[in-house]
Amino acid sequence: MWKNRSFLLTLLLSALMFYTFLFSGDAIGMDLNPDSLQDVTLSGYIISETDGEYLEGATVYVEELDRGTATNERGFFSLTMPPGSYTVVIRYLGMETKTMEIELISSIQVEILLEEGELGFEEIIVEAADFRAGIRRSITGVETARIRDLRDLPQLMGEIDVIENIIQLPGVQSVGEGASGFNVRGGRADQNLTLMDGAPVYNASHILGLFSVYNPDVHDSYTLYKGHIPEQYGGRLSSVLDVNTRRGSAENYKVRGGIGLYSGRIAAEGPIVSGRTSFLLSARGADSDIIFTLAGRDRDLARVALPSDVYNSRARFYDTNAILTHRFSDRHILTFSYYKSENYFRYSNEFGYSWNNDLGHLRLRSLFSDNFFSEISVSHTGYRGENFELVGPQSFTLNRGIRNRKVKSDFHYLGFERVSISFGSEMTWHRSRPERFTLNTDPAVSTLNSAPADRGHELAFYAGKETELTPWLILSAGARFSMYNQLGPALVNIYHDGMPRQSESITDVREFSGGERVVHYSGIEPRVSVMLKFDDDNALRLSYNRARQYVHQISNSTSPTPADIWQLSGYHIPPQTADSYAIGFYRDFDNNNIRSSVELYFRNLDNQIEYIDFARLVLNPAIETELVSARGEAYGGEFSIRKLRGRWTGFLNYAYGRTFFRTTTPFEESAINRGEWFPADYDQPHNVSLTAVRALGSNSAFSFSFNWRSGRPITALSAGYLDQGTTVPIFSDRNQARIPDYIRLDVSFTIADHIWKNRAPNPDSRNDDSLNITLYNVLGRPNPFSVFYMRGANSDIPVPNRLSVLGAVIPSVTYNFSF
Amino acid sequence: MRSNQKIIAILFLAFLILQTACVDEISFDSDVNAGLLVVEGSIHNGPPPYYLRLGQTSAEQNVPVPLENADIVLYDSEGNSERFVDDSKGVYKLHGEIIQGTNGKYYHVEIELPDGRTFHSIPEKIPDQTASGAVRAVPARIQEETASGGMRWVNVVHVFAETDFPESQEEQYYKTQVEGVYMFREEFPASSLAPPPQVCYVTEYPEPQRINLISLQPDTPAAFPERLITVKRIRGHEFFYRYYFNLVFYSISERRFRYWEQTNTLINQSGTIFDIAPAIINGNVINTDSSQENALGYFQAAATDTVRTFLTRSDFRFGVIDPCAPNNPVRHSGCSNCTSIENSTLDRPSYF
Repeated sequence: MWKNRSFLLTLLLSALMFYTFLFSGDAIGMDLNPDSLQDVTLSGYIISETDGEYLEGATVYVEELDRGTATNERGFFSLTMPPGSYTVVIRYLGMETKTMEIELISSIQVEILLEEGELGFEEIIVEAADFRAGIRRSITGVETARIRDLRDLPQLMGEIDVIENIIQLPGVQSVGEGASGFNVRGGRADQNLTLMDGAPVYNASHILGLFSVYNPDVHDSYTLYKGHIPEQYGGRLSSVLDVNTRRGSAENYKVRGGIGLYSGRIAAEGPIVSGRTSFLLSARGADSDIIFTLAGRDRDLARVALPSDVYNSRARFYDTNAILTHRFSDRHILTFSYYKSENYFRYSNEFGYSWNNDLGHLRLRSLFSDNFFSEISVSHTGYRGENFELVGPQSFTLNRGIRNRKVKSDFHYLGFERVSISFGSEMTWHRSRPERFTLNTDPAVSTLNSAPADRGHELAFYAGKETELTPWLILSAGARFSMYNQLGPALVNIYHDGMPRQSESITDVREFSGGERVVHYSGIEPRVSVMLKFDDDNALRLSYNRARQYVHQISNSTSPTPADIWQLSGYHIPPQTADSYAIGFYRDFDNNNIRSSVELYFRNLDNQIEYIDFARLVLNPAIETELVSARGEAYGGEFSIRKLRGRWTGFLNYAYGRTFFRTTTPFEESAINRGEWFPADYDQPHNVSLTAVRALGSNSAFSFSFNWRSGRPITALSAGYLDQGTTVPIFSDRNQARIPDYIRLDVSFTIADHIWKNRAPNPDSRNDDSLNITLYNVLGRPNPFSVFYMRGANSDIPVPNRLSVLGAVIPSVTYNFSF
Repeated sequence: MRSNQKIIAILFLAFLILQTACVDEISFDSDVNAGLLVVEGSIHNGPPPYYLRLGQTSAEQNVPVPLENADIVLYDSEGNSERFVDDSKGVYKLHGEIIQGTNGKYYHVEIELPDGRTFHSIPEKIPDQTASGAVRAVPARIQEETASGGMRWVNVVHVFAETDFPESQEEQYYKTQVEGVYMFREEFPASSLAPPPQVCYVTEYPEPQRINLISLQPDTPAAFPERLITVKRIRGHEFFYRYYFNLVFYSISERRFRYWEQTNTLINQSGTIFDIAPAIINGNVINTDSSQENALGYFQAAATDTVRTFLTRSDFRFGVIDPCAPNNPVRHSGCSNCTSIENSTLDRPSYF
């Protein structure tokens, strides 16, 4: 029944979209704006002349009216004003400021190209550089950067990496190299909505986090919402990382790429139909086997000379992007993007992982009128993870996965004076893949989890409005209404009311047929933020938002692994919810050369999923028996100061943050730490990052980066006691000790090719070839990724061992080229 | 020459990529678990005495410090009670003058420490039945890997067990354990006027970290054919006289069974990241005044049965030397005082 209703709703929505697409015109905008019949609208896109990318956050300022706006994530802006002559100033950090005299008689739409700034690399844009418009936005905790502006920072494995970059931001951290994912303001790694062109990515890492899925030649910019999450995003509690791909050039053919010690990449783009249709194709990969293949006849010598663990270990990945863009007209652009990746990691001949992502995304951007903008998209995401053990007769392979399909519509109306409106809807079909366990020694012995694959539908509507109430007060208010249904086929265990959920307390098993509704959850998610602008340099922002999450990653290992379970909400697993509050003060100095901010946040988390002690999650058809619901609280403060211009640029970030959980079960058998508050696995109170970049002339720079983070909590082993002759290990309560602090220093040089070729710099300096040399972890400190316990030959109980993924200095040399 | 350069470059790159990972042993601040009470005690359906050991975890050492002068009282489900006697070094003894372990009855202890803290155990029932079976010990030689990666031959005893479990209308939980008991005689004094040498009986657990557990569903009798359950490494001197292999069947509660399962899980952490996350093992001892304080260990009520076999030095092809013989080049530390040997007693077991 529900299935039919949701299908009809989606159909209705699609019909509406189709209708508006076919019959779009100025009339729609006029109807929506009856009070401003005399006014005209200046709208359009701000585009980088160098690569044709839409610039998010560029400011458009009308001097005569002392009014302005900033482009949205699609590079679009719209300003409504009385007819007249105006001086319009367009600014974007790192670009030349453009001033235009416009005679505005009727509404017009423009495309404004901005050139690279004259200062070139002497004005190096630090990562997460926002823009002067930044303090005009009403929301807290938003960070945005263009990928190309990150290239002078130290680069792990010689490649610009979005995830590695955002981990430098205050309030964002990782539990260490090798971790798949990152944590934002006390949220778990699975509470980040990680998007590639709007399609969710379940695992954004390659080779256990040493690379990410975001190819720097393909992606244009990222926006991280770590405080206030706008109403058009949903389904995750903690943050949204929205990374956009570039369009291929519709005018010229270009090739760019890079080759380094560990990886290589290449991207080609160009027109298919000049001015209308373009392509962008890329491939990237890394493979430790290549080194041994290069050895040729010396391979045997390598086998003898290297430790067996080294020789037998393998790490490789590849990924590809394909992007096709077609411009129907100035008002309608269709983009299709596809992404595929394969990953494999094996430690010696003992254990390993493989995982892959498949993403497809079709998007239609339409400008119905000068101030009515829409984006309609359809996407598919597939994710498969596999872990395997290769040792012993019981060596196995375990497969898991999830997929979702999504239809989304976003509408933005900018026709009211000092008001922007957005609304839309989103429908997602979730389905987990059945868990499969196979014995490697006898593939015929394969066990499928007896629980049917989870299925669920998530439907959300949203609407929001940002209003400039006065020149010094901007209010953004919106809400998202989301609903979720778990669908059959499903077998649901019913447990005795007064007993913990255990196999012994099952009183009944209810069977649901295919498509039948098992359980329904829904709720409103308010999103409100306010900005008080004291003057051009000082602003205060406050925000509140609620979010609900229906998809959860379940792990009882120390860090998310590629093969962790993605579990949908269901009869026994209600959606996680979070109420987030933030307040921030922002101050610019030295004519906006130095930007500072202080933000405080508090997050109240409900229905958090914790695993009980000694939980067994593999092939468990009643996984709810291993889980326990918890309340959580996260709070902290962040300080950031950034220098944006001059020979020395950089930033200093410090964040203090704590996250605690407390189980809510009334049954002491299931409670963790007797129901007391305990720190989250990723609770790292102190986090400092310092980065400085020294310009060394055109297109060349030296930089260093220092990171210090508190060690994360762990359940510690301290001793043992005898019981009937057996030494029983004494572990602490959960997460009562900490592993050593994480400390790392990196240095990096970027040298433009004109220097070693002894020629004049390229007038378009950004197109110079360059060589990047990075020394990662200069201190050679073996920062712990994980602590595991293992019994030694002469030990009755396990002893703690620290695993450092990068325990030495990692040099990298990468040659980046374009032509 | 060129080939050498090539291989050096290749090895360098390989190290860069793969050798950067490292594993090293670390330790934690032991204050984390300091001051916790540790209880190991039991009552069973055999004859008294019954023992209970008390200790307290310490930041200074890796094993609990014996806790003396505690007041410990055993209660049964019929309202009887009997006080344990402090037998020194954290060992408390119940003579069983009032309470003796009986199948089907519940038992618990209440503990008051010298510092005033009080604890109690969750009552446990001695199950109505226990398993039976047979045990066989066979000398053998096996190969094992040395620390340097080579192989060597070692002398061992394989202990095989055959087990029968009775039918019951309730779920049954069993732990089987092999104990070794041998006789140790001190050296004969040089003077005939000196007192005769003492004879000690030493109990040991040949493979202490091997935990054999079996659970049975209701109405499912089971018989396990003979199987290897313990491998005893031979030191030599312990087989000079009789060495008894006691196979003890413990019929235990479900809670105790889960406790041993969790212990087994922690002991056998394999070091891969697929291991179940470690956690504190909760026994059945609780702080009476504060639910926020952990206590470790267990006071167990079990029905037990024991079968045994023995070997002597004549069962081995190689010669076993008297550990206290004057011509023995490796003099045993217990030859002058055998009670200094861990887990030794002068009380002669009935089967010796």
